[in-house]
Amino acid sequence: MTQVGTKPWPAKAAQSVGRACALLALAAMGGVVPLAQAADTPMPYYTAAQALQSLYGQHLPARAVAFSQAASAQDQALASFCAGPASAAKTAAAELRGQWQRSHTAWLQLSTPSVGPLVERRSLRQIDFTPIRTALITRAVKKGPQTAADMELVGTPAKGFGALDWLLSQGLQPASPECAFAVQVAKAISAEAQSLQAALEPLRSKTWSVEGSESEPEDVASPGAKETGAAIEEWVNQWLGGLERLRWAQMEKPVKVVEGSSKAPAFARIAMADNWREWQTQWQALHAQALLTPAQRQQPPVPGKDLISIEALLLSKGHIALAQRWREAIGVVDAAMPALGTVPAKEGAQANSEILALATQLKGITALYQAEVAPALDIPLGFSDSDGD
Amino acid sequence: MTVLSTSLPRRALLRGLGASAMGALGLAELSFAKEAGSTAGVTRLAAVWRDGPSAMAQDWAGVLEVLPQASGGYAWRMAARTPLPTRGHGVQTLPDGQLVFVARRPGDWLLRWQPQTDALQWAWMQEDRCFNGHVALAAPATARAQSGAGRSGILFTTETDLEDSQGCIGLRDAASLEKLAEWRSHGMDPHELLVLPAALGKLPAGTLVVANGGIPTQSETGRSKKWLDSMDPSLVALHPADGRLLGRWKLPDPRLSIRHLAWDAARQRLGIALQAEHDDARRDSAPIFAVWDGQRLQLAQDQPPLAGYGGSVECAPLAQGGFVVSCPKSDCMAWFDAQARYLGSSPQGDVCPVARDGARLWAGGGHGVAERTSRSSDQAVPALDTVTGLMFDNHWRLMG
Repeated sequence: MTQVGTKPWPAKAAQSVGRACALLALAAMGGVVPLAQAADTPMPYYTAAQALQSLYGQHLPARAVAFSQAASAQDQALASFCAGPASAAKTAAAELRGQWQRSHTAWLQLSTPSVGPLVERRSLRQIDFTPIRTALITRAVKKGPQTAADMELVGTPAKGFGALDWLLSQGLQPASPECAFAVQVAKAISAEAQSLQAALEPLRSKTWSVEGSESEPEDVASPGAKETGAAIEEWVNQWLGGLERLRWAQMEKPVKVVEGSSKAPAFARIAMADNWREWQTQWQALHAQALLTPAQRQQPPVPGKDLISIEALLLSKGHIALAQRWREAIGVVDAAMPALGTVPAKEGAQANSEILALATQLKGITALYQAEVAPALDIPLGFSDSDGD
Repeated sequence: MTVLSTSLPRRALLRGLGASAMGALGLAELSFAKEAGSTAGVTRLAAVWRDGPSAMAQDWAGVLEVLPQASGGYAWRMAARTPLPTRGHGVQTLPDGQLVFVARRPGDWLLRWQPQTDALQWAWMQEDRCFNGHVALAAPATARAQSGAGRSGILFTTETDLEDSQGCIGLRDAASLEKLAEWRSHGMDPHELLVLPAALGKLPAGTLVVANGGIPTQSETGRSKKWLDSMDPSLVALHPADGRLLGRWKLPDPRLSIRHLAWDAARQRLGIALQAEHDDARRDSAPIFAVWDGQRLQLAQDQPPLAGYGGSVECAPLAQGGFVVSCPKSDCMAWFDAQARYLGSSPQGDVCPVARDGARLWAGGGHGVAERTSRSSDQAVPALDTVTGLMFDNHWRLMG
């Protein structure tokens, strides 16, 4: 079978020790094993099915629940605010902004990268489209949508987190048309969060088919194995897609577009602090799927219980040196990315230079991922620079 | 002499052609500006390339020069270049010597560049669209029909509406690059497009022919190919004045993506490079070529397996006409006559960009550039520059 992404992973015994084998090979070649690696526990072999079982069985459902709760809280807070007294507007503004930030952060943690139901439902487009169009928001406010069906007729650049960000920044007043529209936007976000939670729920207990064996002809893979192959390919591709969205679309491009002019970059969020929070959160989410946790270095991830990261898969397949370089590349960005909750003090051109420098570090990960990591996982990349057009 | 055969991956490195790092050279160290137009027999090719295989490497748009050598034969060098923010793909020449480059799909920039002065004009896709990698200069009939079009003319760009994944044709002022209008491409995934220089049957001069690749894509998944069961490729002809659909042609196999085009004006034939998207063994033996005569599509006949991938297509430099299709995945150039009959192939490792220059064909790939005058006659073209490694993208465009 030559279908993209459905190539079975090499079949090995479930608990074969890929890392140990590779270490032996290194020793035989006179290679030097780094001390940090030597301290790691041997990694069992993980199948694609096990990786998916962990991703869809634990990781995503938990994040979907968190997003649903945060979105619901935002929805209720806005509804309460808009029905309340005007005198409360000032004091409630900070709380509303906090609700938006918590809800948005929970969304980013779920949607970075977007896989499965998030792709099928086009959730990112539905509730986090950028750039917003303020003229469209103003028009929608005047129209005054009252129901979910009315909101269907509002264009994506006028709703979602971007629209709420802008409406909040304008100083929402209770009992105003803007407030009524903001409530509808928040309800739509909450409804999407619930739909995602519902769509992910059945996947929690899904049994992903194990791939065929190496001796099996590729073109006899079962439909179940094909589904597993397609899902793991989607995850590996979308991880890179999420990284590139962060690096290029959100950080580098806005700066490049205004280079040589006196204009300020038009980042997705109105406040620079919210842009940094968005970037940091996305990086955290990508990081979580990229590397083993410190505890997992002593106790390997358990399929169906713990997330099986890209690093775990590399080690499991015996790519010891590559896993080390992968860890180091991620570490470079970890060191360069300001911690969540902190915003670099620099402004203007200096701030832009810092953003570009960080984007360059992220590109280093793109390079390694495209050239070595994805091929080591036997996954062709739709985002890859190596394919033609 | 046979030009190279290699097992290196697609767009493999051009290596070992010199010692110093080309990436360290600036535009001032290239000499296009002072010599432009002054050297007889020089062929100039507009091109897109990357310094090396890494995604960290710089992407460039530029001009390659192929120069006759006193000792006989040719050699090539980079004559000018300008950095790109992401990987480029298609290029269109303008009558005043400027070049318009467009980002590879899903792309977000369009660049007009004057290589002699390095003047740049950028257009960024801010709307709910993405560029699909190709740009073409519209006929005067289109410019006349568009109020607001400047004297520089109209550029067509293939785009995708990210809301519904349907194809669009952007009509842009060639000077400002501002979008003036938009037509539907009547299909998904429009890729290369071409303007008929003369009437063809009932199709008026200036008719826009669009290769709708037919692959469903969406913004959330970028270049990943999904839902291939619903592929719907087509070749369409659009009226030059208003974009109305004049005709639509489909191949019998919907897994054959119609992607690249070349027009043989003498024989009024359109050569079409195909890319197969089957998820089984049919891909390997799928046709990579078809011709269109304004009335019907004819698939390649008697073609051997060529990995189902045509990277670029160009008119053959032969008196009897025909076409060549570069096949980087099977390391050869495939030759077809004007009736789409397979004539044979010429080996060249990783070959992809091709450009016809009179009786010659220049082709890039593998470890270098080749000059080809027929299926069996080729000559390696060495590099003059100190080029350590670069990767050409799919297309070259001959500059006047």
